[in-house]
Amino acid sequence: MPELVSATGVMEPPAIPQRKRRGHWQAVRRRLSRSPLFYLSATLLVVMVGMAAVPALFATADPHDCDLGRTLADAGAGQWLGRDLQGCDVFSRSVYGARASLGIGIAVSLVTGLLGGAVGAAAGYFGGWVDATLSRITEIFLAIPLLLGASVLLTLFGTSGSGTWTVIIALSVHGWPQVARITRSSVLEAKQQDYMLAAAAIGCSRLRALARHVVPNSLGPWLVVVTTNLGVFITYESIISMLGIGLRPPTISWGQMIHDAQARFLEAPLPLLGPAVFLSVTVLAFILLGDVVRDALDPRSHS
Amino acid sequence: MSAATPKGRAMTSEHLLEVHDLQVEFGGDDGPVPVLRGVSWHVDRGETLAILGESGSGKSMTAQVIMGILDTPPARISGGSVRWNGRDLLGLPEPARREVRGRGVGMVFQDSLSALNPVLRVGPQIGETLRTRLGLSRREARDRTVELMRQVRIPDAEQRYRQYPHHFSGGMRQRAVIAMALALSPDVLIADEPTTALDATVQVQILRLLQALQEESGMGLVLITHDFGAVASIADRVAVMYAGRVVETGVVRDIFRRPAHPYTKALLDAVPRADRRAGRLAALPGQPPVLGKESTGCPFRFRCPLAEAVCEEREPVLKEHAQGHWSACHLGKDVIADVLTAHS
Amino acid sequence: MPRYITSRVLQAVLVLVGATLVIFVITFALPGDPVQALAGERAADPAFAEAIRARYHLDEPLLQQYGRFLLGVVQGDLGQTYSGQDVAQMLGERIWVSGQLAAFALAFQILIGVGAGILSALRRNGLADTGVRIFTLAGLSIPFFVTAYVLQLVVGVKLGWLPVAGTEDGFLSYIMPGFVLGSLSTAYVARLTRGQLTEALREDYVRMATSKGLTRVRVVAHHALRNSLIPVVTFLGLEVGALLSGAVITESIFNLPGMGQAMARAVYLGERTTVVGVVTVFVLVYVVVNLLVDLLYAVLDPRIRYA
Repeated sequence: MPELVSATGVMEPPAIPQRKRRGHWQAVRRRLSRSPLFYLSATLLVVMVGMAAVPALFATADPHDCDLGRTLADAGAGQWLGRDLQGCDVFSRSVYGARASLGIGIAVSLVTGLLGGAVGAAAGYFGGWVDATLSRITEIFLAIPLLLGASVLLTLFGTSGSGTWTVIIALSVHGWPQVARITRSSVLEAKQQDYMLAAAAIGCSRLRALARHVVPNSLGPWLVVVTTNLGVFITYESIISMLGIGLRPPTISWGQMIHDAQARFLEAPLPLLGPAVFLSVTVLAFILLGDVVRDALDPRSHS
Repeated sequence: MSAATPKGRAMTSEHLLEVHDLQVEFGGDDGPVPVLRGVSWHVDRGETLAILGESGSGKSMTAQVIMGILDTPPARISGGSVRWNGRDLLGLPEPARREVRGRGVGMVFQDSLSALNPVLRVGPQIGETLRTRLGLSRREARDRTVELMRQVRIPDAEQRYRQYPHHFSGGMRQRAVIAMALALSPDVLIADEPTTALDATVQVQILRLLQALQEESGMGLVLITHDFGAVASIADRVAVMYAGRVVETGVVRDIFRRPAHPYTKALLDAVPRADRRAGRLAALPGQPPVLGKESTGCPFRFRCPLAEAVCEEREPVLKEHAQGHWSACHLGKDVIADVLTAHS
Repeated sequence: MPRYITSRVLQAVLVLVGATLVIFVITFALPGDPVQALAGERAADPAFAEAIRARYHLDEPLLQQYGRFLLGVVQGDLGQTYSGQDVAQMLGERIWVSGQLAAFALAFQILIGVGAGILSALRRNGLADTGVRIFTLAGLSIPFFVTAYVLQLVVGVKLGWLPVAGTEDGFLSYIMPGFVLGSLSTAYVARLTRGQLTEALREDYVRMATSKGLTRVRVVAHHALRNSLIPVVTFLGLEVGALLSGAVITESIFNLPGMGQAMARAVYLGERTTVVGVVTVFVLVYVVVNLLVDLLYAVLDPRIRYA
């Protein structure tokens, strides 16, 4: 699961190499290390990443070892969240679901982050007809609601195999414009600062100005949106799987568990609430992380 | 300090607006940092007081305390009083405080672009309090507003009434802000660096306008500035601030001719003057002290050409060197004058 | 102002054409046999394949096909379902339900979101602020469909205060689904309002308004709030996309016979004409709403109007 390696990269923004701006990133690191919320979200994420990496450590039972005779069994010893319709252990299945959900969230965030970041940065930095063209394209894709656009793709092309790649592609195709918009405006802002004029005045090359001034100053907003998006895309994956067009068995995902449990929810809520709690906690951890990173990057935004 | 009655107003000990021993601190990571350390000054009817100092010396903050628009927290008013016609404003409940704003004390902000609400038309903004506080009808408020706009010399006041702030030039906007502050005819007008953001020619116009308005209405005018030139042309008295404290105060002529504080002297030397031959302007070396760093000694000693051992031991208090002329310096006034003259 | 309106309308038309083109290309022009794609899992029988080819003029060049598609959309022709039902007509019957749901959702977003944001900004770091912040964090992290199920179970079944599902109880039926759909963005609205208002309260023109002796209520309502709500309005416009997407789930969970439910059903059954039809209508709604927001923006902010 190579995505998980990059996940830790996102968790530690100070590790981003910024030779010349060491002071800035040191301050960011100091503010992060002082924030209790950072430790809370980091702890939650480490647990979740652990579950995704080695679910067997956390699970209490084999998620595929189901007993139809014990369908919708209540919570009890050894089965903390009861059993689902198929008689499988809800807790263990939720643990195993972390891998697909986190993996897709991270993969889509990265793809949309890179694609949207590149498009937005190009539009903001070059301006002119490049900006006009890219901005129109961004607007057009922005007008197709993410979930609906992804649904069209998934309905038309179906899901082959586990559906992991199709889901990643479908969400990425419609998820990048938002990142592009934010990156464009922050690059534009960084570009228009007086220090860019000053850099040009002392004979600083365009490329150097870009690397020294524009990138470091627009990296913050980009980082924040990509971090927050992790939670957003995990939710979207679960919605798509809920609609029955996302991940397929034997892959276990939270959305798919919720999909299976919704029909009998009113009599047996635990099979639905179990994965829902896992989902909520993961999303919460990413949102907190996004908040903490934003506050650390820009202390003025903090109340 | 309240004993100081420069114009010999022995009749009453009550001034129109008096700030006494005002202390404000900011909550920092390492305990509170004092920002105002016992500021005292006063202004009377028909009088112009100029408050002079570098940025960060506490000039604007004093104004914000008077108006009650200082953000608390992070700031905290830890002592002192603000008296308006003898009433201590700091102790008043909010509704009573609000009554004083605009009518008792009005304020003109430094940056006219940000002081006007960008989404509201200029005229109604100026006349807003006429309707909300005086209860004038729409038509009455409008007429009075146009009159106010004429009073501050805004041409085509009737057309201008319906325009938005971004249609106004910098000078016109500052006139509009002044009109807004004058709408309820306040007893005292505090102008916080009213000309800083303007072109030099416009600066003069605005200062003349303020002077004329003050003479017409007889209000007290407090002019906060770092521009000695502005002070010389319209002020009656001057209070020079340094590091959150008034270091010298007196009538403008005395301050100019015989500055009794090395800081005032340094400021004066930094002003270009046509009547002096000196080839170079004197720049004051160093930076204002970082607030909260040193607790003893004169805060100016690091930049002072005359600093002696005593300056490191304790902070000087304001002393009256001559009638109505106070300064906070350990060295006697004459010593300062002599030494400084020799210097320049 | 006329120039601003013209440019916005042109832009909207451009986006509309572009977005439908994207949908069209995805549906009909990507590699793979569109006939097979439209036939879904079942094997395409020759008669059906022929009908599809004739219906969509698949032998013509791509742009011509798209022109026909667009012409159909303009004339209100969105094709037919497998059972031969007219998609446009079917959606027309359902749009009222979706509209009511959206209205309730928007009302909740504004009432709760803006209200909580104002409260939070005015009592910064106070008890109410902390409460609102915890509430928004919960709102941001608990997916709205989970909220839907929990409310259905607790408020609908256990307490019996509101109908669990369906539309038999008139406007009462829309309260819970409206709240759920609204909760999708309520927390964002609250956060945005709080941030904007906090910033506005520090502006010179707000301090100036205070120093004129206006009451706190007037300062906040007349001077600070008006400026801080401009970005909130823009945000609500952009969130229409999320609202439409959310309606798909919400209408399914609460069994509301709206366009979203039709979409969810069509997605599950793989009925492509309906899916494409609903998305086309939703894109149209999104573009029109955002055009209106842009025009409203000009009304709220004179700097735009005269630019």
